[in-house]
Amino acid sequence: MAASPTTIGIEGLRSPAKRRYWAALRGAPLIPIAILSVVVFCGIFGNFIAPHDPEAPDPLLRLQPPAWEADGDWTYPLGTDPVGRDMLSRLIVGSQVSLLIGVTVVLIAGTIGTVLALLSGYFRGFADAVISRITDAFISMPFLVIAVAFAGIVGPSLNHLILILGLLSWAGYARILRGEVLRVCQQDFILLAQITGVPAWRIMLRHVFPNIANTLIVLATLQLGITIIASASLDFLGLGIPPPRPAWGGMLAEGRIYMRTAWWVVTVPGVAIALTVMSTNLLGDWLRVKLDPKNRGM
Amino acid sequence: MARYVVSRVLQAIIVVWIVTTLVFVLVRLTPGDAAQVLAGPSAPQEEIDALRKELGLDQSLGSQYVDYMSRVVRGDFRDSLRFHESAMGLMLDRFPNTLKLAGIALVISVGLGGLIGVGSAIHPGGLVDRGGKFFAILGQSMPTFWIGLLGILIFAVKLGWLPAAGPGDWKHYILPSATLGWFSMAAMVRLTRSAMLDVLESDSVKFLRIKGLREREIIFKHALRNASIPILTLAGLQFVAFLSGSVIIETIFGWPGSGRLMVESVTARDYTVVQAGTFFISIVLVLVNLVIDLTYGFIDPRIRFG
Repeated sequence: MAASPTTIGIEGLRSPAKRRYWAALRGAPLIPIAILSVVVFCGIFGNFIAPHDPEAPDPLLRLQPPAWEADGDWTYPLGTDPVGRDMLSRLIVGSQVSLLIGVTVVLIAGTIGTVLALLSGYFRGFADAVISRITDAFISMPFLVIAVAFAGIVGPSLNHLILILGLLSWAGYARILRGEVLRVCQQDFILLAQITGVPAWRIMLRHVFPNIANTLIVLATLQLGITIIASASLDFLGLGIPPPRPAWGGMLAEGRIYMRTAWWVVTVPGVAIALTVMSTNLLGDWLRVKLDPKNRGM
Repeated sequence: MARYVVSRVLQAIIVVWIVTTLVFVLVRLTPGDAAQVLAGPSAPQEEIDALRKELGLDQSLGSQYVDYMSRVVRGDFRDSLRFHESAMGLMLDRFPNTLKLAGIALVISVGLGGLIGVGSAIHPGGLVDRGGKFFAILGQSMPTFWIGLLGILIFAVKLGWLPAAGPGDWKHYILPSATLGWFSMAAMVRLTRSAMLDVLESDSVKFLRIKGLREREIIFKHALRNASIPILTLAGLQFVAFLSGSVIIETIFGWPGSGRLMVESVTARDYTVVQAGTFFISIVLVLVNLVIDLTYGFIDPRIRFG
């Protein structure tokens, strides 16, 4: 006899929470997660595990090749940069800046985007019209050009970089989440909450937000990679993190003119950026499929 | 249709207005005295005062804004602080170079990306599909400026096939436009693939197969045409992204376009050119977006009457 829906439901309730927890991780992209864990570890403990001082130049050790090259030395596994600083140490400590910028920018932009999406999707009408127009305007702006102009005028610094990128990148969240909020608000439980007299802010926070959180997580993961590339681009143009603090984009810019004789100065930081961004992209893609309600139970 | 056009045009005007206001706020954001910053750190006090008067910085913020907007409408952003020529004129002089690069990048992205996308859709999971996916993820994960540097390292420094930088004959276009195009190709491959897959599974294609049409004819004559609307939209969006990305590419390849002029002006604190550039690139972008929206509405009746 075929199992009735009720028995399946009871089976589902009985299954141990622990197993469900692990099942959720099945098929997770392990390599990207491993790479991101290394980046996060380096970002947090970089100052303790870096073998050399990442900011102390040594004119006698300029442009040492990596260890496996003919003149290489294991003291400097990835060679040294044009002013004689250890590439590996700068790479490790440089992940701090990428991580810090990536996470804070995503937090700022995600918060602004979510709040605006909740307001426009919940209240609709005039608020929605105004917020949507502003969102459209921000989406169709030449992001990089305006970021360059802003960074150039307010002067390069970590805080400015975070503010500029955060204030310019919220629009994507707002547009996509607004659609989600509209969808959620059409459901009966929202109407019931309104009838019961639950205040609007509470409905938005307790009932709407948890239902759009999945989309927010996917967006934030994908946006992390874009933010890391954008901040590296500004570093590269000399409009990001001021030297001597190591940042991956800045390392590329410093090594650029020595490219003909020393390939590693432009290759090593680029590989770090590419691997990190690729990992966030793959993780985001996996999350998108995983968190999509349509694929639940598959 | 008229309603749709009017709402799109209004939207475009709002975007331009917000950008121009941002550009206005931009200079007021400068820490300290704007005139001091504009004149440069070593300027004598008289020069700063003269500049403040000339720029109208001694007036109220409101009247400054009115004056600024009335000049923007005429396309006047004052003279470049560096070259003492019209700031907007400088931008316009350099723009054709940027346009050429973006045009070629678009051909690469749409042509090559579209071809790989079609190939992936014909045999999902096949060699082209898997190879194309890898290529696409790679292109999407690497910052454009790094692809550019690697391109110079490999093709100019190691192999010596292509020139490293600067304008010149057709060889000079290859590296910068390929660099610009690769990043966007990824999205093009994905979109073409999914659009083609949708169409190839549709009843109309099944009917054409039953009818006995050759597969090549079905794919290129019928399926591709049906899949072309989203592809065209993405192509327009990418063109816009190329204009913004030119800021980086032109700096790496020493390309005399408007993107590099922007970066140079930012570094040289030539703010009138920065303002003109931000405004101009935004205008071009909004116009391209507007044209895309209108063609989209023209092609797809659901949008026109929706």
